[in-house]
Amino acid sequence: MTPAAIADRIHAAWATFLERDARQAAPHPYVYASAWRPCERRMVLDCTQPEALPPYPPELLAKFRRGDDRERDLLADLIRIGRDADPPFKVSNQQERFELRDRKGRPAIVGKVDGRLTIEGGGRPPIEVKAWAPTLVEKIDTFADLFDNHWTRGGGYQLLAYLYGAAEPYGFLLLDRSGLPRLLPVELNDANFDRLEGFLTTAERVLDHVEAGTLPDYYDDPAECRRCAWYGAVCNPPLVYQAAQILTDPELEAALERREALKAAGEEYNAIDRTVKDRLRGVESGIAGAFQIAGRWGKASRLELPADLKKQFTVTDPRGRFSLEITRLEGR
Amino acid sequence: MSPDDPVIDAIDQDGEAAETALARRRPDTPTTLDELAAVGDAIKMIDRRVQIIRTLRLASLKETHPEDWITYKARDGGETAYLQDCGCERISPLWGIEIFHTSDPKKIESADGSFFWTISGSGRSSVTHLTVENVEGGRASTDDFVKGLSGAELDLKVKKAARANLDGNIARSLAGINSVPVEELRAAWAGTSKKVEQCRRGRGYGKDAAPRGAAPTVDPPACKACGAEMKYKADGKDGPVYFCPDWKKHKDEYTAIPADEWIGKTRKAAEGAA
Repeated sequence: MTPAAIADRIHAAWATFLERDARQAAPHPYVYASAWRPCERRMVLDCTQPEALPPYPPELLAKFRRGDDRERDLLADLIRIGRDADPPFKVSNQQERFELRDRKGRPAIVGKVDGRLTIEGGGRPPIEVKAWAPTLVEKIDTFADLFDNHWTRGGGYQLLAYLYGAAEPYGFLLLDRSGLPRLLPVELNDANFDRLEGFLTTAERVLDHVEAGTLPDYYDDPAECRRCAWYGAVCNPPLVYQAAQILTDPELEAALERREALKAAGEEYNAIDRTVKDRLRGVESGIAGAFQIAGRWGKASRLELPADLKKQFTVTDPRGRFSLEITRLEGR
Repeated sequence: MSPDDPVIDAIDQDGEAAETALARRRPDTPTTLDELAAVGDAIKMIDRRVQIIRTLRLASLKETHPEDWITYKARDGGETAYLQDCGCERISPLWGIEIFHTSDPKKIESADGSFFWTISGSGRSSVTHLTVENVEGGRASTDDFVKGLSGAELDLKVKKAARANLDGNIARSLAGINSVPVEELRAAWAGTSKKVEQCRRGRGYGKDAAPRGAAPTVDPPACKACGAEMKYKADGKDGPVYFCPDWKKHKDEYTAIPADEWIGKTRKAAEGAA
């Protein structure tokens, strides 16, 4: 057998090994804490017929396994780190089941907490470990950042459910990364409480549909539908894409034409202007060829704040910046 | 007209007229030829509409990636490109594609165990207000993309692909890009890193045609200038090409060989020897 053939056999055996350990999905009358979705219809289908979807492929199972391994390793490290930390802490209640009940008394959101940090002289905040793709983790600086991305949003809701279920005002999200893991504190403040309440209310509606054997309306975002496992399988919603705006203002068209005509000259001017001004910085009086140069120093104020204070007063507006890309498509 | 009559009407009418003139430039404003003939600048109006559709078409092509396309070659040498279902999703927002009245998917089974999932639906573009009705989408269990799958996984994948095909058929039809001349695609991608040569090749290129992406299975040629083994480049400026890795050492002597030419020659030689 050639080395390549042996490698192929090992690869196949590896896939079989992963598939053997894969759990079979079964219908469940509650929502998993990790299964928040923007589409309620999808959440109902997740509860009522998860077995209709094919089992996860070995490639994905391998990723899950890596995630489980990293979670176990990081928690083992944390146990040792806790002995020497100030204040010291212990990692307890690993894989503890919890459930949140809805107003009708039904278990609505169910999950398992990765662990709790029992802090000496303090509380027992829950901790959730995530081993997401490095490109996702690098974009997460605060807990609120989780809600900016489709792939991490569910994890945010999951931890909020744990906080509420554990009756703790704060907890931690431990993000695995190639360097030092990132530990994010999470507080059950007003904004997060609203998110959690939204999740619980959604779960309640989902359970109503599960009990009644009905399905909620279709979701109205084609992008969400196209990445849903149920799309085309048992869910065939109408799709409505928001069209590009057709702007017919002749003045705008003329301005765009003029802008395009001046573009190259404008870019050249800006580049030369920058070079000239860099070269002449500090020259208060001078003559160059036919040009007289007169410069003067003026006051400039800037606010120098310590980083923590700056962070405290930094507000991020998700629609505060608007960038435009204007490209002429015809007659280039 | 009495002096008390408000003159504001006249101003409003002007405003309305101006708005109507602007509105008529939009491709989604229903306008008959008679209506257009009644306004002074009908030709201009039509030109504006055509311009908008042309720009939308170019913007659509620009949105797509080479992996979204398959190119075909006709007997007369003309090359066209077909946008696959996965690429249609990228262009749908530009045209404001709406898909509705989708049927339940239907499974058609053959005696040999193979099957076909089909689904139908209608569509509309909110930009052009064009509508297509009862469009069919379908995929078979014998298609290449499900090779190696079986059971529930195969069934589900074919069923989902049938829906994707329906969405694709509607989008292609409403955007008018069922078959795009390769040169048009090339022009739309000018100035970007996307190249037609990176698209997958379909029918019409012959068995000697160089594949796109992966290197061909024939032995590479030796450089005429230095004897080094030449390298394959799928996205050469004029198509797939073999080039010398040491070309900088003999810049004056250009030795690159079109891949199609080399592959054809090598295969013919092999057949002759056999």
